[in-house]
Amino acid sequence: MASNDAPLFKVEDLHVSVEDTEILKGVDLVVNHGEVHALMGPNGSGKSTLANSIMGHPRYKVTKGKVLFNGTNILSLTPDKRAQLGLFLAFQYPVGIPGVVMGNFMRAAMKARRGEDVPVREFRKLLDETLDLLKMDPSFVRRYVNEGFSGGEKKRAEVLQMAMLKPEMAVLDETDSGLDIDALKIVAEGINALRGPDLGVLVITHYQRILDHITPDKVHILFDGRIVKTGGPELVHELEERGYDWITNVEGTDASDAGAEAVGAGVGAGKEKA
Amino acid sequence: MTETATAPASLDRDAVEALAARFGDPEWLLKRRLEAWRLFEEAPMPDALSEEWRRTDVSKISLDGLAPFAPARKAIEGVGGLPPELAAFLDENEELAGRIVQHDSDVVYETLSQDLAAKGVIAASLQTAAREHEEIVRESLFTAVTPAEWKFLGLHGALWSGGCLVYVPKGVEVELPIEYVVGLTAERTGIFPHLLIVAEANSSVTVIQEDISSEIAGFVSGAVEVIAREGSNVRFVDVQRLGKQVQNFTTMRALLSKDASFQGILLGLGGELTKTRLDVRMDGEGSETELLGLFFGDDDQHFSYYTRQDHVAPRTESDLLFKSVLDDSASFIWNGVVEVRKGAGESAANQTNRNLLLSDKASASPTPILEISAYDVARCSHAATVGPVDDELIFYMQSRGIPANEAQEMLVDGFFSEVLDRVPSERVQDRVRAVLDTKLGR
Ligand SMILES: Nc1ncnc2c1ncn2[C@@H]1O[C@H](COP(=O)(O)OP(=O)(O)OP(=O)(O)O)[C@@H](O)[C@H]1O
Ligand SMILES: [Mg+2]
Repeated sequence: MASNDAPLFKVEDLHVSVEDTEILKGVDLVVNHGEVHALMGPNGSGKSTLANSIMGHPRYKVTKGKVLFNGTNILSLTPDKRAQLGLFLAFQYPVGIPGVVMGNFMRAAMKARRGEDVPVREFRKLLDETLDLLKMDPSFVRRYVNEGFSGGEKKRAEVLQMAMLKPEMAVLDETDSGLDIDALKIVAEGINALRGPDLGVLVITHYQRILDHITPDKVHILFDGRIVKTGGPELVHELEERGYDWITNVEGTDASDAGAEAVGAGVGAGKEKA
Repeated sequence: MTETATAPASLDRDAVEALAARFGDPEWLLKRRLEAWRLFEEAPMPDALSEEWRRTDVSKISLDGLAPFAPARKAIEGVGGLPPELAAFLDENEELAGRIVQHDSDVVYETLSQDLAAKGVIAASLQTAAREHEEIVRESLFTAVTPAEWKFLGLHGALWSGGCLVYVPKGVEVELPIEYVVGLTAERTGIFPHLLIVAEANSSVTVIQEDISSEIAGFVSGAVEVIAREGSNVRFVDVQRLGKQVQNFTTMRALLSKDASFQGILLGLGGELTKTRLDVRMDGEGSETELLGLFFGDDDQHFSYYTRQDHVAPRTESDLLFKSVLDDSASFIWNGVVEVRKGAGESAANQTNRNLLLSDKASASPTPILEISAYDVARCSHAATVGPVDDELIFYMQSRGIPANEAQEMLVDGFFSEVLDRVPSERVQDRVRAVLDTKLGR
């Protein structure tokens, strides 16, 4: 049931399989209004799987658990319904959409998000401002979505879409990868500009550098389909120095370090009702 | 067109003479008709086992009980004067340089801007032109497409009527399109439209052919001939939106002289069974061809295209891009030949066919064929794909709030726009988009 004091976003004991292989083995996570969380973890640990499952990708089968958005379990909703509610995913690898022009795509998306047509002038204005914020060339609007965009351009275009759609909860899957130093700063500033008391953000990343710009409230480490450690921003520095070996070696003993809302899974935690 | 002739009963030699008499054809034309009739009689019906026909259900094709031509249709003042089922397809106020309208076997309307007429441009009923511009017609008619090619062209050569001649004198540029409308309302009647385009040196012209019909069991066997002389620029658009019980066989061929360029755009939407052959022979050095196709089939529509990009002269270039979207149990066949002959050194050719299947029962079978005899070909490439809509694209669009069905529509639009964006005339683009929207039920 939805209730006003429910956390913005809550993942509860989430198990996900791809083609009969279990990838997520019980993930728990809570992001409150206004919070930014970072999710780190080695390649293949399941970060994108979590992101895609949250958005409802049909290939990722949820075998157990819940994803609550403002207290409502959204797992039975199609991806478009989730987006209309205010969920957003910036993709690690955005796909090109041949023949579909960015401008038309954004108009259709905004119409869907708002549930009504967006007046042309308002749309134009918002688009121009957002392009400006992200220092993107206005010609992007006339290009096919992500087609022939460079790696960095694709990532900026994801942030552009986020800025235009004004989600309540955004998952950014390695939006910092592939960006040069200046672009990283621009994108980080863009994200910071969107921060506010209502927006929740989950930043998936491998690097400290974006977190230097966007200070996270919490940092989680995903390993082999489970969150094995949760801490504050200092965890990032520790990781940077010591690598993941340090975490994996202490796995199973770190659950007590976890924050109140995000409890290391696999230790039988995360079952309490909100 | 003064007689109130009833349709002749059967498809025979007498019908050929009756048709020539009804339209007052000159003697040379009647002789050609009778020769074509002979070829028709000698030629076999399509062979279900042949490579050319094996993917088409030939049991559906029959000439039994087919009337050789329709009763005379009376002249009209504008497209609004056509039967409402036909008029609904056309815009009375379309900005055109000229318009020739054929209703069943008769041309019922002809108009051409006075300005162009004064420059010597002709857009007229081909049958009338055979008398009034005999030299042009006699010299060019059946030089690109011939009745000896196959049975239905033999029949066409014997029984073609109405038709359209577009003639553009040397150096004249026709800005607005000239339109040739072929509208069918006659049940089980052979309709044999013929479009002849002659573009003299350094001229340019766009001709749009509109094939439309009421909901009848119709039969069309048409021909399009394009003679593009040195340095001319011809664009031909065929918008085929016949009713879903019409069988349609058409052969189109363009002959290009030195530095001529030809753009052929096929839009295939209608018909029960469509079999179209489109060839371009680049006889002149430096001539260029672009062939674009957009096809949208549903129900159990069948489309079969055979194309040939024939490079005869050196430094010729051709590019083909055909795209089909197929729903329900519609089927699409494309056999595309690129031929680069011995003398056609330094030529370049490309062919691409992409097919999007919206249903499990829909099918597409593309076959690109390269026949290269020249040793020094500049570039030759081909690609063909068949597949459903990419789920990852749908998911991406859904993740932005766009419902799956709307996402699919946008992808179909996008799929076609890659072709449309290559149509240089905005007017033609708009027209094609409007036709697609209607087909998509918007
Ligand atoms: N669609 C899929 N089909 C098959 N296997 C998959 C699929 N998606 C994910 N996997 C597998 O699940 C595991 C987790 O993949 P995931 O992409 O979630 O990792 P990640 O943590 O995002 O890694 P990276 O840091 O490299 O992006 C990997 O072993 C991967 O091969
Ligand atoms: Mg990933």
